[in-house]
Amino acid sequence: MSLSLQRRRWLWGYAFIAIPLFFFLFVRIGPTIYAFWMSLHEWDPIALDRPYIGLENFRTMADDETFWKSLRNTWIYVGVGVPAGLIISLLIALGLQRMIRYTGFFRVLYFLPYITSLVAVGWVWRWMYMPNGLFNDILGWVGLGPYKWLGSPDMAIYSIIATTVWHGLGFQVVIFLAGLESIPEDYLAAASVDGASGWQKFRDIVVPQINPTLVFLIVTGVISNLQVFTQIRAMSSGGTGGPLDSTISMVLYVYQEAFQSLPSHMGYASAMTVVLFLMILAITIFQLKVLQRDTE
Amino acid sequence: MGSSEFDPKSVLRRAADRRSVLKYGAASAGAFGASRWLGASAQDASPAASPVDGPADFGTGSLELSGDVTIQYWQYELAAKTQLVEELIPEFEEANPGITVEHVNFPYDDFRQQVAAAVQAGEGPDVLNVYYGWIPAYVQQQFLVPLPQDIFPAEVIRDAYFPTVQVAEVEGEYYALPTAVRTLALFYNKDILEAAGVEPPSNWEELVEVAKATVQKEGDNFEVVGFTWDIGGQGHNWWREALNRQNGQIPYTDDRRELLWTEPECIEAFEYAVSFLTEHGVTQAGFQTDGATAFAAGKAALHIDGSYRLGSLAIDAPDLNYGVVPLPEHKEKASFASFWANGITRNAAEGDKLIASAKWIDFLSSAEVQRRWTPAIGELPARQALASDPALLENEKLVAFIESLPYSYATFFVNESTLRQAVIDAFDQVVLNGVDAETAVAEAEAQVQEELDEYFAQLD
Repeated sequence: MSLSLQRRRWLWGYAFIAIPLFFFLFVRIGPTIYAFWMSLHEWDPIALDRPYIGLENFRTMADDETFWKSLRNTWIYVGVGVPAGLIISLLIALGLQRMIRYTGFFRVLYFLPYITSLVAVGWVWRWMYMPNGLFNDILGWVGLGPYKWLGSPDMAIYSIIATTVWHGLGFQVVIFLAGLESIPEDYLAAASVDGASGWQKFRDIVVPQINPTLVFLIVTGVISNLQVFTQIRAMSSGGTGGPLDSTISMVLYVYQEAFQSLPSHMGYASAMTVVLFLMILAITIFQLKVLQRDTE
Repeated sequence: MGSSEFDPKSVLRRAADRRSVLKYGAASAGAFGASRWLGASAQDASPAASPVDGPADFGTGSLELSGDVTIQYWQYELAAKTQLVEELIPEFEEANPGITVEHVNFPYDDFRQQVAAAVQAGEGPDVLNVYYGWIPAYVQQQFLVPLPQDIFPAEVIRDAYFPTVQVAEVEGEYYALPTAVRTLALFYNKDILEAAGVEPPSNWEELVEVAKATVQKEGDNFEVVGFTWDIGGQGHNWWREALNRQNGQIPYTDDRRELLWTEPECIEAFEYAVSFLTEHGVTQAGFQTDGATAFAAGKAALHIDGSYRLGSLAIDAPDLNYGVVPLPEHKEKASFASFWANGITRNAAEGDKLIASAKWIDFLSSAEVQRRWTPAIGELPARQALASDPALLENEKLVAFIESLPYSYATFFVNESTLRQAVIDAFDQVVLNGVDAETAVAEAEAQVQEELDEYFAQLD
């Protein structure tokens, strides 16, 4: 019996997505569901039994000071890091777009940090932040400082945010440039003819036109800042969460509880990832619904 | 739930019954006792002096296997250690036909993760090289099984090994046996001290004076610190086991159940440590990222570290002109000791695997291997008799560490990472937030005491 063309197409389609589907089911979705399961247990991978304890892990979280600190810090990473990164990279992109000469060189220059390993970046910045490091030397010449930077519970988190913003700049600049270059010249030319000022053109033409770019960068920026980990570990001595846990993020705390603590609190760590998962899910849905407006 | 299914002790008893009678007797235990540390002359320490001082010092040579067996030996990646063990394995296999040792390494940072992942997948080591501070947790998880008492009698280990090794004993049974131990001592930069015209310090007051004499500042910026400030490194150990005891106060009761950190002597010791940073202005947190780096770069006059640092300094700073003296003392002498030890996991709880594992541990802690270990690794022999070996004392940098051995103490950890963090936080609270020492230490004590209580409640 021969298959109809329709059916054959259908089969080929599924054949092609079978491998990615398999990958997603077993490598992505499976472990996620498994983590939900683990979050309901007192789960120590080495112990012989892993008793079911219902929602006890979630109740522990409510009284756990470090958890609340990590949650608060995570929101500082998002709330400060994302807007700062977007504003700076948009300014740079606008500048780069106007450049006539050496455009390629400057674009490469801004993109370089992004392709550098975050661990290496973290360590180099850690040296620059040292009490007798580059930043204090420079500030010393103009009579400021010395500052404690990573050694201060108040400054440490912002020092790490600065590194994160610097590292992500190249990626955001490139995406902004693509968005900016897709704006039809005619719109801007017409606005100029009508006598619009630079600011008016930016507000009424550029921003609405790059809205999809903006949404994309906000969503990816928020997600990556919610998951911030590597730079905190690289920039704190001993891989802890900074002085008095002042830089600890949720992901870092999850890692500590699951893999650094002995006995391992894998169940508790899983419960925290469930909370993080729900947070990211809610934010992403919200952003896609609210920020994604059609431009006319 | 099913914890009752597994009883390592009964499994071992059964395994022991099947074996031939062991050659170990009271006479050899006495021989160990006779050659006590420092009391022994050089002759006593020579190989011929002890009847059990052979290739298999605990007498596992007589144990019979029923067939060929392969055991997995896991240890973290430290070039010097893995190289030496790679050399030792063929020698062991030749002496013990039928046994194959698979050597598995992984980065130190992944240690607990790797072990947990393997165990969850139903695999993992038969013999594990474990940091002593993790033993109580692995015992609680029933992951380590006791070393068979008939092969490794607790009283022999107590007699022959340095007292610090007793921390590997849980409820009268040993769960792991080290090849070597490490102690803390004071590293000093000879050039900096000479330029300042001072001698290395030997007590608390001198430590302050030398640090003050050697610090070099330009305005507010440190060029050279007089003494490294590295609480996250060895500083927390220095306060807990060295300063407190030097000030005449043990940091916890002898049964390990109760912390005594808030005793006045401990608070005083804590404040003494803090004074280097807050009062004397001789050091800085985060200077050159950490203490060991600062010392290796020649930017620190004094630095407290373990004997293993000798090896890394030889590689990182071959031209550094430095010496080592015992930790400055106060009312008493004390230092911190630590070690990595080999234990048998529940994967090898019975049969040939248990026998092969016992032979391997016996071999690794044998006098011969201990002698080869120190020059190769920089760690000190775990057996008292071997540490007085004149050959070792010829190395002037090792002397301070060896001298400290009889009064070095290891901490009993229920959860090493949280205890360490609690002490670091106490120092940070005082230094950064201006909290008074008593409040900060009390907070740390309460946190760690809670874990101790939980641990012992489960054990009882």
